[in-house]
Amino acid sequence: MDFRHIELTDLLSEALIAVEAGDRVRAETALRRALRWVEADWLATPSDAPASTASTALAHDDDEED
Amino acid sequence: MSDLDVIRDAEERGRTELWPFWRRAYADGDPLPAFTCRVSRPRHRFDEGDPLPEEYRGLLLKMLRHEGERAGNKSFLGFMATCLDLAEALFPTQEMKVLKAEYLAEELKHAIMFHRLAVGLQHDFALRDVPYAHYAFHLPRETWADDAFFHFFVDLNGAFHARDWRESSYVPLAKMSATVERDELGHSEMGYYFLIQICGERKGKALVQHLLGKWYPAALDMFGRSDSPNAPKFIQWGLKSVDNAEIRGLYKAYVDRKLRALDLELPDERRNRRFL
Repeated sequence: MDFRHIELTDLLSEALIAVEAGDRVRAETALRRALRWVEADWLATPSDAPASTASTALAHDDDEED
Repeated sequence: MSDLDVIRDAEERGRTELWPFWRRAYADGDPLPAFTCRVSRPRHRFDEGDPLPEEYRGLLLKMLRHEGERAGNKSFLGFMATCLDLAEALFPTQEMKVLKAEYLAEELKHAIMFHRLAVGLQHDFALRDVPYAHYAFHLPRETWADDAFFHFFVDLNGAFHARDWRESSYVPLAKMSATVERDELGHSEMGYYFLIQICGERKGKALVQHLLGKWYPAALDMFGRSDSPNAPKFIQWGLKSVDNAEIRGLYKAYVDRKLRALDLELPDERRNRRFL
């Protein structure tokens, strides 16, 4: 089962909730995660595209938080 | 503005101001309680394609039969058709009709998600028709208030179960859980929004109070018997975190708070119950 659609939906939903809450920092963080997800999947060259990119996106996120 | 213009306008904007209802609900903080498993149990984890112990497979299929939202489940599609019939026959405003259309689209999205999960689990299950056994699905929905209660209570039941799946030992279910929880919570909030509108008028509020006696016991009964012999098995295999009584208690606290906010008198929780 391919979960990529669900993963992206969850990331964008997180951003939408943050926008609704008026929390710009959380919205920006969520959108950055979503963009990294897209970058690592749809924008990647086929040979670089991992099967699942959620963990990759999260790992990058952690790096930046540091 | 014509009816068609209202719908076209909503489509052009992508969403009504209200949809998706979960957006506002989660913006105010996590709307659902945390489920904490209080018993010691082994840590299981099964992904698609892994060999499943016989008892585990049986329990998982039982859970998914109960869930029902599956593209290959003829009974689910039939039930969605009744929702369409209701929307066509009873809708009070064009906006609410569009909201119902959004609801149906989202339920069909779930049907595709659970179809894929079913195919990955057991091919012949994907096309199995599972008629809705619980009486909550067969209560007459004769008014818009009935429909509002159906969404408020029954879709919320789905949200509570989906919350529990976050920690599911079956990986595909855990991965789907956040989306399903969010959507079902939104459907419940849609029903609640309808109830707020109906309660805005004295006659409407009286009707809602009257119908609460019909829907409240069915809603509490949806969690099954408190002494279910299967509950400990579900928990041990990591398919559930809490037993029927506990999840029912958490659900009751949630709906009671929302119903009190509508200034409704709560029925006796044991009245007209079939499963205690």
